[in-house]
Amino acid sequence: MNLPYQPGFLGLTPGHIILIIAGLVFIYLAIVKKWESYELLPIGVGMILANLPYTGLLVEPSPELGPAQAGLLGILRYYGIFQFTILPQLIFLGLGAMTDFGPLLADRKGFFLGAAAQVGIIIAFFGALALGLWGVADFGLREAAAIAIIGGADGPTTIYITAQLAPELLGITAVAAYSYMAMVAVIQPPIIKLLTTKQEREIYMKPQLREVSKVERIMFPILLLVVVSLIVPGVAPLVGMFAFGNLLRESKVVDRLSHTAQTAFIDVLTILLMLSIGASLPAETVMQPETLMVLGLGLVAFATATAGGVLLGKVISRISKDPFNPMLGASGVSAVPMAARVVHHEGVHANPGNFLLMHAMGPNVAGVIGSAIVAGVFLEMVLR
Amino acid sequence: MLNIGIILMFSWMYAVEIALSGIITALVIMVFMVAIMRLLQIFSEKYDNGQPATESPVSKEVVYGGSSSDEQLVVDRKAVAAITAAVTSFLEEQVPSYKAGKITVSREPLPTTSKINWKMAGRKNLLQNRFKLEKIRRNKQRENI
Repeated sequence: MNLPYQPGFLGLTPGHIILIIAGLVFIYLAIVKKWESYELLPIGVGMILANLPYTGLLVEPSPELGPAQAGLLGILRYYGIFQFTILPQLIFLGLGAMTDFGPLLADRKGFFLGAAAQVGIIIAFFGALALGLWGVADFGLREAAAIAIIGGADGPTTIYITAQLAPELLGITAVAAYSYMAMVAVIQPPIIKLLTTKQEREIYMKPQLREVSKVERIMFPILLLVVVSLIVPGVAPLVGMFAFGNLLRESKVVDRLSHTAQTAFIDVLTILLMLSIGASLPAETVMQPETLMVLGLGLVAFATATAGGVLLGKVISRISKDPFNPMLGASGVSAVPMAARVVHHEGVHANPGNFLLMHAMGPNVAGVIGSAIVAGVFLEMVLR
Repeated sequence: MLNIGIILMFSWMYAVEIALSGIITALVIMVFMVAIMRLLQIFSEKYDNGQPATESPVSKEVVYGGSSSDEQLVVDRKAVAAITAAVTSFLEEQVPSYKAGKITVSREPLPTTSKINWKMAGRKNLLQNRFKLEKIRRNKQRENI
């Protein structure tokens, strides 16, 4: 058939159609179910665009190409993620400006819960390595580390690490991280109920928190930046931007910068990053058996992270002189603020007089720091 | 075969090293941050006169709900002092400058459909020569308006 140009439908494969439908499902979940709408909607659109044949949108810039021959999504992916990994780093600035460390500083037990929840990363790491060693999947140290970070429940960290360690898994690990973050309310409650007794879930905690001074609020991001960067230099870009954003917020002298970082800045970055992630899911790379394994391992990582936090919560509950609800450990999974909301909801369900939201926000933001630290160690040691 | 086994063993050992390093580093940093922030809190309370610059999410000492036996409403002394000071200040500064004048009570007539109001409206129209103007308009004598 002689046609003046090549229509897209001639290049459609079953894989393309499946992923276009998957993109539509993401858009449906974002609009109708309101699951992680800010992420899933642009990812869904990116997936559809990436799987329309002959558009040229995914063509990455290279010296061999002439001017204006690279595609929009290819340029975004190349410069924003693979070449400079600038998008996930900058998005941390906005996240820092949006984060209130007050609950964490008021009750410092949250720091330990944020670290304990990273056990999910370790479990998934060994799971991926085992699949690689048994020859089930082509996973080495780099791939295992990238997959394991899904357990940190932190999208930008997952993208940052995967882009450097296993770029071919970028799309699927990022989608797994954001999808499971959206499904926290489904994944966590059964694990919490399995690991805690009714009496433990009913433990009442007074809703008030210690008042945090301005000195503490200002010094915390500065100290965090210095301490973490000195111990794990590989994670300085993430923690540095996170601390800088938080300092903009807490200093109270640059309200316009803080406001911009929390709104327009992070919104623009979210659009660019999520479109790039969606564009990293063409049928040619996704329709592999490894994809299902990554999704499975991600789920294991998420579940074990929740379990690790709850188990440490039980230990703290036993030794703490003040009443401590062990469910708070589940909020150490750094899906901010969904994990904290789930714990609060479960707390109210068990004891209608309980108000755990602010107690849960502490471990929740500590989880972001914890997952970034573990990711930094992985990056340093795997790339060595 | 033996070589592959050795490589696998070293690979696993290095993986264990990575995993342990990750979790231990996270814990060490968290412990370090807890210690530093505790020191900073002590410093802050000592040299900042314990003045909180920012409010906690839930006001201190105000307890509501709950199932514990000590459930009660405790009013924050600082809040009481602040409210008392504000009220006192208001009374001292505002009351002396206030001069009470003659108080009159007036009421805007509410629109009703009672006969009296219709009469009042008719009289008002007469006063405004509305009928005359209407008659002129109907006779198309606009030039006389």
